Amino acid sequence: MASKPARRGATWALVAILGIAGAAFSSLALGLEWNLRPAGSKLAADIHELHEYVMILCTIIFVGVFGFMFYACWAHRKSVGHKAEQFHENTMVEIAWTVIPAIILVVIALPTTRVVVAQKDTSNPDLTIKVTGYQWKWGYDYVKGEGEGISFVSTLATPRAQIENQEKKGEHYLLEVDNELVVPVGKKVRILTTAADVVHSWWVPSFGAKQDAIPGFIRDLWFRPDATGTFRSQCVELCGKEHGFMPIVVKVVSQDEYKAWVGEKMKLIAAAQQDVSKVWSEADLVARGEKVYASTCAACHQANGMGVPNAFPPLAGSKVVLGPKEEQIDIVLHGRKGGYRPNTEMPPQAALSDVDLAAAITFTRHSFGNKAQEGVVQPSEVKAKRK
Amino acid sequence: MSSVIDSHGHAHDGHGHGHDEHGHHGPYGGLMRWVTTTNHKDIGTLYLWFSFIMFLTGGSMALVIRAELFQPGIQFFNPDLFNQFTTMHGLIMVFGAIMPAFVGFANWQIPMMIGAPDMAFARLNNWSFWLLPFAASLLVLSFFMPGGAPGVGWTLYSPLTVQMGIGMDLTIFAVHLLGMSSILGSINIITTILNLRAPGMTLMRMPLFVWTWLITAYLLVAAMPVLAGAVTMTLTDRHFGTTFFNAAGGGDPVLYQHIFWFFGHPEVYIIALPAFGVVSQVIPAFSRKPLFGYASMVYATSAIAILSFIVWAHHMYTVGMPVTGQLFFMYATTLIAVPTGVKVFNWVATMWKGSLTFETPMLFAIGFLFLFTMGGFTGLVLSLVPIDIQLHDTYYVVAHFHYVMVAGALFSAFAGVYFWLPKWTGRMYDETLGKWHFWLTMIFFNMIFFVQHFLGLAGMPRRIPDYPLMFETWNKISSIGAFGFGLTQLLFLYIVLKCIRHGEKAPQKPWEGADSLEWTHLPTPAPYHTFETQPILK
Amino acid sequence: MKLSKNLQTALILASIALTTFVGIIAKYWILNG
Repeated sequence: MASKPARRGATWALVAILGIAGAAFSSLALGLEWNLRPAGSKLAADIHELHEYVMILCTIIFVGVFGFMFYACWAHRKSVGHKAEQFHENTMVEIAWTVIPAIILVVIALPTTRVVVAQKDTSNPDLTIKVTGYQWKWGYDYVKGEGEGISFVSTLATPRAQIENQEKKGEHYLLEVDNELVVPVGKKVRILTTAADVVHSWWVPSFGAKQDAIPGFIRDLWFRPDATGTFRSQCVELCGKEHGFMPIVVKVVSQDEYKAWVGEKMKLIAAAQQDVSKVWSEADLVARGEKVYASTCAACHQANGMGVPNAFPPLAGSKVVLGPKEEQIDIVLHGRKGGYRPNTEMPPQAALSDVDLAAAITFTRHSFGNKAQEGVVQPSEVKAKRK
Repeated sequence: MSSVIDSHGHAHDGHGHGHDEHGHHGPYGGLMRWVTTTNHKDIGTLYLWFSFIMFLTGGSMALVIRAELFQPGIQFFNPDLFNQFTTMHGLIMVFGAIMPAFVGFANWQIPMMIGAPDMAFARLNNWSFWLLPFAASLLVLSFFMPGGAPGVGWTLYSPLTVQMGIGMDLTIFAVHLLGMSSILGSINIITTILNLRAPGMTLMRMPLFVWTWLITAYLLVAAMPVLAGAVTMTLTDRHFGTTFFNAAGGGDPVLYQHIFWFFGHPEVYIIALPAFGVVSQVIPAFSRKPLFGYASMVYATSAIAILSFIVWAHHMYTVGMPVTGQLFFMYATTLIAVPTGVKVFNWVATMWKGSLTFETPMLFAIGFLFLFTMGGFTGLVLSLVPIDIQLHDTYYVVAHFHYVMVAGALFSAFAGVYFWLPKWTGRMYDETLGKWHFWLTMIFFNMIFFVQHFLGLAGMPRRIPDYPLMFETWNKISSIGAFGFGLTQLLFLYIVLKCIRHGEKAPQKPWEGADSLEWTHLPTPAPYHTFETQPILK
Repeated sequence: MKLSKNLQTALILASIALTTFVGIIAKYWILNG
């Protein structure tokens, strides 16, 4: 009989295994996440199938091999009197267990190859959208197909208060944005990815589509959504401080809804063109700026404008915010390479619209106790400073 | 029957005994002994204690990370600091804990196992060690620099690294020193193994542990300079106007990834191979049966090492490489499964029809076999491009590499410590406590990392301090496991200290089935100087 | 100058390491002009 500690250990192990198994099964019942997201496209469904196939194969091999090992642990124990045989090599066996796994791998690689090639085939898309990764939001530009010309930025919409545990977290906590990417169902969508600063990565699990967004280069991926719905995901390459806070939300709609959405967006774009050239009131700018500040600037400069020492400079009483507006516009548009060392580098905010930038700057000049002399910045001034 | 001509080292008494420069009378006492020692046993001890301190340091950072991830929301650490902890946890564990631990084993064991009196370059050995605490201090110091430690992940991808403050430069310097230490150590190990073997100890008679270190040392010499190149190019991009990884200047961020992973993949085998070596000593000893397929094991290890240089881009399937690139790396990566499988089968065959006992070293070796193989399977899953597209940069990858590096390398290191503690100290560790350490580690390890596979499949990205609500339950379980695991390692510290101070006196051969030179030809504990006259092995 | 066997081995290995390090940086320096 095995020693007391060994028996105790084995009992604990059994408890643990049962516990984990129990948790796994109960999780099925409770609907806890334990597998790839439900497939929203044929490609994703193919990947699901491939994964299941490989898992089954691995489980069979695993159970086989460790069946032998655990059998030996039980039957070939010294404590039951088993004497050790002294064999220590067998060329045939070595060849067998080299060749057979190699064959199994070929059997796995063949169906996989088909999916790899399919995943890379971005030809003949119905719609092409350029996705730009920024620190820390996504920019979408519809470059070819129905909706060409639509352009917007998609930022995390979850309020900071929820993140800081001051408010109850909503259902789509960290998976909601202000402007969702809208695409029509059943069409092949080609996504061009790039980035403005560091490497990001764009991913929709339900479509089996992931592609790194590399600054200075353009890569692509494709997907063809099977059914309508909203698909949520996150940036999936460490890109700095707010890497966990730049979600991706894709709304797949019917052909008709898509047409309607495109029409609406085009109207908004036209209106926004006018917004840039018109003269805004201080009150309107500050009101809009408050929203932009909360969603874009507060992450670093904090809601109270006090920044974080040795990381993000305070805006309250800042020389830049109180001084000539040209300098602040320049820094906000183009960033501050090298930062005000020791502070972190400020990323350029050129992705935002002229109106949003003007509003945010105006807001900072009227908040946190600031009362700047050149208090109001118009969108046209921001537009003029874009190189 | 080999005739042994060796001398027993003189009994060492450190106090008040005049010491001559050649140290024939054993070590003198005090701090200076440890600073100036050129004895492979002392240096092995230094490496092992250093690695354990780093293990606890890196481990504390892991606890910090898991504390923050216990619940959604930002509780304790702002995202910037969280990224710093993630980065430093990785760097400290890889370069400060796991690698030095196995160098510690190499130092203690290689000379004894090949019948050599010491390493080929004893003074270089001392320098190789002392570089490490200095480098580790730089890493820790970076937290206290303006801007903090770099928050870029242990992989140090460009161009994110260009944005970091001075902590990044300290880290680069530390990485250079760590690499230097490894390269010098490897040169020492290769020279020792090739040139200092006792007469009769042919290469194919060496214990497998020595073989795995010979091969690992070659990997280190080839791979560490590549890492040095990558971080140097990062340094010049940061400060000297180069644009290696900057598209605006004609460079390419992905070039960094290629160079890094050309180092990075051999690096994981640098970690794994010595672990394989330890397990290859422990399993035969406790099966009372020779290692099955010695020659195959040598060839398989060599095959793994060579193949490790042609698979690096399986860490980069999503960068946008052409489909032919993806297919090549996928096929090459699946190929590595073959020699790795051969090793697993050989270990099981060693146990088969042996006469098994389950003391703590054997428990950890079996735990290694079981869990490392699981990690191997998830590696196979990840090697398949379409599946990797879904799993890259998620917690599935985190689960995979912790299975192979913790349940793999760390368990093997524990097996080695329990196995060789009697030889090093002359005392037995407490077997009951050892078993507790094993079972608690086993249970808590799986609690932390098994559920992370589900997190990855469900879509949780890596390196985020906060997460959507659907990931909460698995994260909670993982965090609880982490704290249990961490506390359990304090038990290990207690076991080691208790053994050193009041362990029962060990017999000359505490393990019936152990048959390498340190067990058959040397007293227990091993004297300070051993094999000053080399044995002649027939 | 007759070097010991140990030193010969060490120098060969050290030069592999050094060449790799310098070579990588040099290659991409030259390539990127």
